[in-house]
Amino acid sequence: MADVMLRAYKASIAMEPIVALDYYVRIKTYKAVFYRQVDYMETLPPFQALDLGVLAAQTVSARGSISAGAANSLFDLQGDEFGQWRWFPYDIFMARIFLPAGVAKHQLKFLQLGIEHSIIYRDPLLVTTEFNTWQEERPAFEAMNYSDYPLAATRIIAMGYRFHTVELNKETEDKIKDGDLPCTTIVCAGKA
Amino acid sequence: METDFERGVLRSGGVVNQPNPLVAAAVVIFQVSNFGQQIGTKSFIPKKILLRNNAGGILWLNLGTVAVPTLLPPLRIQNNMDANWQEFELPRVEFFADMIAWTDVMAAGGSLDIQVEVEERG
Repeated sequence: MADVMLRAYKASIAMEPIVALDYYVRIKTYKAVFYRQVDYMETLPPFQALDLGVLAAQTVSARGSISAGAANSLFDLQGDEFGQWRWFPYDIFMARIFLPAGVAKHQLKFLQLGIEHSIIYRDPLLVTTEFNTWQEERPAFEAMNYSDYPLAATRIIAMGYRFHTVELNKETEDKIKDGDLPCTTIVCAGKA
Repeated sequence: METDFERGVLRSGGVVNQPNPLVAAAVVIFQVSNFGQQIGTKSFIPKKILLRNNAGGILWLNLGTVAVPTLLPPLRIQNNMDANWQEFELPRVEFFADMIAWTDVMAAGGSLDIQVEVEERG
């Protein structure tokens, strides 16, 4: 219950780290669960994380997370690290996010929601864009140019925090599983 | 509540003198930032255009990144006069390459001084 309340509280204000130093975390990816402790954290100020490139009118880009001409995805983190991200499309297009590449986020029964540039007005703190990643299990994005005009760039700005974690000994992990120690759940994937 | 997430930063190009007419004599009035080590793609939106016609005759000034298409309608510049356009008079046109300008005519010995202020984004 404590961690549910923590998350609700965090979500209602400007971006703050989901956990603090020394917190225990339960990291859930789409295929595994890890129990760890945060031993380092730092901010990731807003930066241009991705440019899916030129996009013709009324087309959808290939799904990707690496800018044209770049070698790496800027969403990748070092080993043992998880990230907390908020983001928005900087140009006038609709973005769909997958986490990881094969798993759609923001799914309804009949629709996967897209996020447009207008998110900065509808949700100025970008609360509803928040997601977490684990190590190099990066998100992937599709850009949709719904307009009748071509786009010269499809840029995404992201910001957030990265947290380095360490493994727990079995005794501590068991105490968490038994509910004797507090622990914050970090969901690092969409739900297939 | 709005945030400033969309906003770029304002900066000005230098004062560029244009002594000759036609697209072959086009001058660069603002260069896009494309330093190899910068993070991300930069672009810019013209916010102000300031012109001084130095006895160049009555002329049209074309603005774009290449000869065709121009990215803004040509501007009518009177002889021996200042002219300026502000943000609220300019369409929100975004440039991803150097902004160039050229005139249709230019009186012998005359020239045009041009300066733009842009919002650089990215």
